[in-house]
Amino acid sequence: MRISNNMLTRNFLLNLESSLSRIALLQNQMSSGKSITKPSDDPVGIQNALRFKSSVAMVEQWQSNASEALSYMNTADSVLGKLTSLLQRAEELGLQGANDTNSENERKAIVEEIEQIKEQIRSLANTKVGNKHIFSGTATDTAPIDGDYNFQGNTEAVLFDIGNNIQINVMVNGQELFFGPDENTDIFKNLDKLKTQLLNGDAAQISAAAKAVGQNVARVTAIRANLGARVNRLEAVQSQLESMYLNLKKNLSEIEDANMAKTITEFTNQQNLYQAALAVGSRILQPSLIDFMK
Amino acid sequence: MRSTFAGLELGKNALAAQQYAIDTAGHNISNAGTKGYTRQVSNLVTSIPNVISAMGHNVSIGSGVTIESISRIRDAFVDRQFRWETSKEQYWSEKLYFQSNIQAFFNEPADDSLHKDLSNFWIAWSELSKDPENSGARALVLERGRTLVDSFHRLAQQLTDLENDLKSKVQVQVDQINSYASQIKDLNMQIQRAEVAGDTPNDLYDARDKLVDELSKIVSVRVTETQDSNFKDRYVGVFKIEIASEVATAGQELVLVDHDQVWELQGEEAEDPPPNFSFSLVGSDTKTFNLESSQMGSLAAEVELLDKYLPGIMGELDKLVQDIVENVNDFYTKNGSYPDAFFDGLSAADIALNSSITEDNLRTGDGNIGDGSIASKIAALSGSIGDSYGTLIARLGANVQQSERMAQGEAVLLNQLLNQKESVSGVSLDEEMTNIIKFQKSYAAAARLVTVLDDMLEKIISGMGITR
Repeated sequence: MRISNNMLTRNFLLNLESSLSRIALLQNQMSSGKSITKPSDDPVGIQNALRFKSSVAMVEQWQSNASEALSYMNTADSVLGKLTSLLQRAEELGLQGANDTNSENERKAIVEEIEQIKEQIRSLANTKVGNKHIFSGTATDTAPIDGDYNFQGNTEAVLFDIGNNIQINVMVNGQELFFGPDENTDIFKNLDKLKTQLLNGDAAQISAAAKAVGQNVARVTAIRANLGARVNRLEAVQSQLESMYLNLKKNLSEIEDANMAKTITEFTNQQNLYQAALAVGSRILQPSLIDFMK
Repeated sequence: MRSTFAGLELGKNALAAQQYAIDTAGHNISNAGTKGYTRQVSNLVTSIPNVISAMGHNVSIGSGVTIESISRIRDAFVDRQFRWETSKEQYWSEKLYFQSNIQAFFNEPADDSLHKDLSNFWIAWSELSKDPENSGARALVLERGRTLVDSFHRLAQQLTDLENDLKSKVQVQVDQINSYASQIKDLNMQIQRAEVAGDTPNDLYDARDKLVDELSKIVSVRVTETQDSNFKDRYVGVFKIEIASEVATAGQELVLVDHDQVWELQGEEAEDPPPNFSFSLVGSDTKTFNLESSQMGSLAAEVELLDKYLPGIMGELDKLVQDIVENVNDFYTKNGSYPDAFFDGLSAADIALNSSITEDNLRTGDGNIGDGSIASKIAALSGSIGDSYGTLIARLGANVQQSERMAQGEAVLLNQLLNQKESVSGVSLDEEMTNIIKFQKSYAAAARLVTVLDDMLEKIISGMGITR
């Protein structure tokens, strides 16, 4: 083949360019740490990467929702614990008051303490997490128990998203907890009855009223057990979310992250080639017959 | 009887011929780097011999050298292939250029992209669903909503700008074609005048071929050159250019230049239905045609992008917007039981947040302050909407990848053809220098011949005779 000088320079330039563009690509991959920096790098991969990315974002959100839900439920649980011990104390006081040896003054002191307990229960019922009352249902801006011991909230569930179409109720129904289905299950009414009987001084009646408060303890314990079961479910979901998150991250990384060892090795290789091409170019392009003519 | 000075004449012709040959080599060397230059060779031939009568018969005596012609060394077959591949290469690289631009508009998978904005939008709703009484969470939903709307507007604007760029580029290319065509016509006339006079105007041929090369970047052309039947004794060409693909198709001939006639290309854009370019060639007759992508060249790529590709992407984007708007509004208005929607507009260009929605009246659920059921349902849309967007991005990527591969392949092929072309027509400095030495030596020898003849004449004039 007949070779012209233009051919030499053009071929040289073309090879140099292709080597340089390969170097630019590798450099881009190394500095970004990603093997996909634009959709055309891997059209199939990018679709999966985008899908994984939205999943990761959603799972992160569900995780945050779940841990917030857990904090509501833990608060509710500790409130229920306190409520149980207050009610137990009231029952104990009632049984103590049922003893005939108590003077009227002593019974008055007991009534006084029960009144305190009732007030404490009301303030427990009005517990807030952040700006939410936790026993008001979805009427979260309203204190569930007013000054007359009436329920002001609603019984709607407060649902948190913790998965794809999976929701969990983070609240305890205040109506159910403090008032129950009828008058006999109303904590405040029962405490009032106990107070009245203590003032009346009939030992049998006092004892019956104290037993009614004891029934309340059992109800609260049952509700607490139910809450505990929900907490267990939430914790199970949390660990599922965690492993889902790790899996998604791993898959995403496999698609879009650059294999550094491979990239760097290839980069060094290309760089050597490029330098060799430059060195050779400076020698082959220079001489022609003209350099040897006098 | 031989003329006394015949030898001097022979020497003079030899000197002149060598000089012409050196001039040609010099011309080659000077234009070694000139684009579109074809190397020239001076054809030296023996001149017509003198016939003398000796001993009763004729003897032809060599009368020296003369320059017959100077010709270009060029391979028409490689030219044809080269032009067709140029058209293909330009078609793919033009497509690649605009498709990569579009791909860059979407900026996936970077963090500031539509995908991220969309994902952030859903997350804001999820955040609101668990904290509906929080004005911060409400503000976040509105702010993320606005960001999403802005992203759609930006994309729609960029795509529209690109469409306008393409339209004006088509016009520029059409003007360029017309300019090349009329230049080629002018050259045809000049070349014909020279050819009729028996000349081979090499540099004019080069200029014309270069114009055709440039033309084939924009649109693929077929060149036919035939012998003018009015001249039998010399070569006079008739040069004709058609807009056509490599494969000859039966049907109308789209002639751009026919020797001294030129047709003007006009591109017209139909307003409705969406941009559809039709072209016509206006001259002694008028032909209307559509530019098929099989015709290649950058113009075909632009027309295809305008007619099919861009509307496709805009349609996909609008469909995504429609999907989002309709689903979000369905939940937000509880299937129309509330009059005020969250989003207005149904396309990427005119989607907007309902201006009457504020932090305070943003609806989150059934009306109870702690109810986030609407927000939760909207957040759950993240699972179903967005997949079509992923498909769109994947398709953009696949298109760029295809164009990239085709353009690269064509570039390699083109380089191979350029090498073939260069191998035939390119200037080799070594070769030219060798020729110069060759002709220089011949020149020196011819000069020596003249000196010898001079000596001989001197002998006759001053040395011979009786008067001393």
